[in-house]
Amino acid sequence: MKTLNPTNLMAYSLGATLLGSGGGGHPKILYDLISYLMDTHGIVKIISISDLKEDDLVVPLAMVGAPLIFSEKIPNACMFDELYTNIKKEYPHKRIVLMPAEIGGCNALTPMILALKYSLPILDADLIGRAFPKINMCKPAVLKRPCNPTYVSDLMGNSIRLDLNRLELLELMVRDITVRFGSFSGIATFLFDGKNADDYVIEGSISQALEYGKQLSIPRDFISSIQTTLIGDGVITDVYHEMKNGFLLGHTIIKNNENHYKIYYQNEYLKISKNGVDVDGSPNIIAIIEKKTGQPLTSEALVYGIDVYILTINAPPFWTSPSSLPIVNYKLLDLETL
Amino acid sequence: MTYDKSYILGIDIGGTHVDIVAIDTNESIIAFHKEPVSEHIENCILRAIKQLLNKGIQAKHCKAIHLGTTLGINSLLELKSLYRVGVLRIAGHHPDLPPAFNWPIEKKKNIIASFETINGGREYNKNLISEFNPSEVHGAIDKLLTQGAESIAIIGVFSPLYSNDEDRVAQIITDAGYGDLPITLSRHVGGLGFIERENNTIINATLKKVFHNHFLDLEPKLKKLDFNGEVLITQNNGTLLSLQQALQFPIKTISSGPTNSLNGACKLAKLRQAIVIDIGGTSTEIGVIEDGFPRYSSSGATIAGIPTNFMLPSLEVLALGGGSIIRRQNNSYVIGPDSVGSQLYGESQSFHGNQLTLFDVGNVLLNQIPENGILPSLSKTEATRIMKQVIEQLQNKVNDIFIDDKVVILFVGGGSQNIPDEYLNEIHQRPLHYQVANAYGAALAEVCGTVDAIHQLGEDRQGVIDKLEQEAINQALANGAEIKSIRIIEKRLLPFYYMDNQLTRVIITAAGKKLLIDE
Repeated sequence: MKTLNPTNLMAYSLGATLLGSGGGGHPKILYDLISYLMDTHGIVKIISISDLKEDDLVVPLAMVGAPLIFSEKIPNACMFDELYTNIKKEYPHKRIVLMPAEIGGCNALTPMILALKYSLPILDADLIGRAFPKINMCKPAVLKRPCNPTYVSDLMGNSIRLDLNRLELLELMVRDITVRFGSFSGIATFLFDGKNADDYVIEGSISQALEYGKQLSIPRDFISSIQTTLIGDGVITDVYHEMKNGFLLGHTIIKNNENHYKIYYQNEYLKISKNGVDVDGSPNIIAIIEKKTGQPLTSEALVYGIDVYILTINAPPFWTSPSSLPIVNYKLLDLETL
Repeated sequence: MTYDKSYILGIDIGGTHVDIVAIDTNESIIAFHKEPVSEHIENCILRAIKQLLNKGIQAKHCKAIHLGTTLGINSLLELKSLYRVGVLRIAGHHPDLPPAFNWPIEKKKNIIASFETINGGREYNKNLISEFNPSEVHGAIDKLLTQGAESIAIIGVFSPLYSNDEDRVAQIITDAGYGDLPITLSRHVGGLGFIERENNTIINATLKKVFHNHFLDLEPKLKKLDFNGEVLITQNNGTLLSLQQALQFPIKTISSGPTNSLNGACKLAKLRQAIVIDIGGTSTEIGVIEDGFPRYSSSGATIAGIPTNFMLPSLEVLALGGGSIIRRQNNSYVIGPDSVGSQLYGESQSFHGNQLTLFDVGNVLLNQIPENGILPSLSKTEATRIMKQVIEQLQNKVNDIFIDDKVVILFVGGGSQNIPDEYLNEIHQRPLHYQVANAYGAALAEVCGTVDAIHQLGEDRQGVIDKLEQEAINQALANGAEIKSIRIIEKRLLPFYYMDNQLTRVIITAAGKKLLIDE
């Protein structure tokens, strides 16, 4: 049986950070809370798509807001309790299976809070295969699946149910509610039945994060491995960001003696330019990795003076198909750059 | 011989020795001494200084005394001379995760007395998370004191941006007359990131005891010896802090030992790039100097196994030093991790003791009999094998952290003298005065100026930052830095979310060499 447990939690977190492309918040935000819950509640069972029964209800979960805020107003184990109670009331006879809505960053760990407290299994999949700044950048949104009902909750025990007839409203509503909740909320959205899984999931995301996490323990081997493309290396010489419309918007400059790299981000790293020329970007995953530790750095953790590698990893295949590429291609994205 | 020119004293207070150097206006060492550590650090310092006075140094020409110390880190590692800390969180959402959750268990048990959470704390936009209630403060402090708290750490959500709640709590405690109950406010010792800042705050709160014990009476005693120069303590970033500030914020000095040794080693060797291996009595620290300055690790630095968000020099630490105890195991040797430490003069075989140490192995290979000692009975063949193993362990560690194999490796620290020349290859160097590299680094510690203020960066972002950098530089100048060596060593921008015109807390530090001139 595949599990998430105290032994592989660190590797899982590292791999999830890498898949976050700088965004999604650093899993360390939740790591301690999960370890704390594991002390009392044990381990989390991971099931695969083939274990899913037709009428299982899969509940994708995420925290929404600015990662900088999670790290300051630290999450609470009760933040999904209200939301879970409401879902149970709505679907009293269904087996509930949890899933990370987004594998990249701290949300890889988010469903573990409920999974540990209520002994629920987690599905080895997610809605995105990495992290993206907007809710409409996920598989079911691209495939125009309904998002109803969506639940939003906060750290103080409030929970709201949304039933929206336009998908575009989801992003706006969740963002507004989240701002009212102190820029930090928990969300369950794109709930689906086991039989419809194909329209919703990027399969094997949890295994992928675990695999990358193990490889990252030897950074030098990892950067030369075949899944990765080394773009360059250097020292972080400037970090410039601001919060705008709920996003951490900014860029960082990384320099060595010959080259200068600029990486643009909107929560996630979305584009790299080398000496003024764009070289790679979304949907490929961009990672800035501290040379010494092999730690992938998230956008809010960038600090002046650190020695890093810049590398990219190919996007999950779903994002390179003709129907989804235009939505996330950095060449077409209206990046609000700074 | 007597010197009648200005000088600075650099003092390194380590686990086994207090090292002292005097440097002149050319940064040359004019005298140095190594004094074994005894119970009372203050007395060791005074004894070491008197030794220099015997060598012809005159108290009245001393412009400053720079203390570098591992007292803080050692007391955390050994869990000695620490206050038990009461943790007071101002966090209306009442987080489940207790303080010190991910600390090594022994540290948590010895340092944390108890914790309390009260209402208040801020959202990103300054709104209160929940209503602050002064009477909760009294209740919480009373509980913490009952649980044995001797020092209080106060952490408010978003306090680096909004200090209101922490300041109110501090005021309430002061007004309530809890005597000299030491308090530490988190905003003074850390940036955003609640858990790491909380850890910084607790460490600072607990360390106040050891600094209080060792440094409170130092200045008056130095005055009695006619030393009227400033007494300063080196901090993590290689710059200086007043003794008064260090008593308030001991955590700022916690990593100054490695910083001093890295800087000192490179300046002794006159190199701008090197790997530095500092072998002390109980441990070896390996760091990297690039372009004249230590390489730093990211925000994930740990102190004695405790995660913090301090920027510290990136270091590899090995439990291997001159006093490391060596044991035979099957066909090889186990070196350390324990050390005879400050008992080297009683327990090592060279001093009739029972323990075989690296010091003894060195003596055998170098055919060297220490004063009042003997030559240990270990065979040359065995000694050679042990020394080869030591060099291999060090080289392996270096290979772990550094790819470029042409960079010079500097051996410094008292433990380095145990390695005979023939074990070193062409890229290994032991610069002159390598035994006191750390104290030399302390003597060279820089003067800084810091700006910590809230500004609207707005349209003219770069303009505003340039102006603030200039302010920091001017302050460094005013504090006695030499103009041509000044540079910016720290630049942190903490934006206020959703506020107009990029309202930002800006922290900029400029540092430069201390200007020392002869009268």
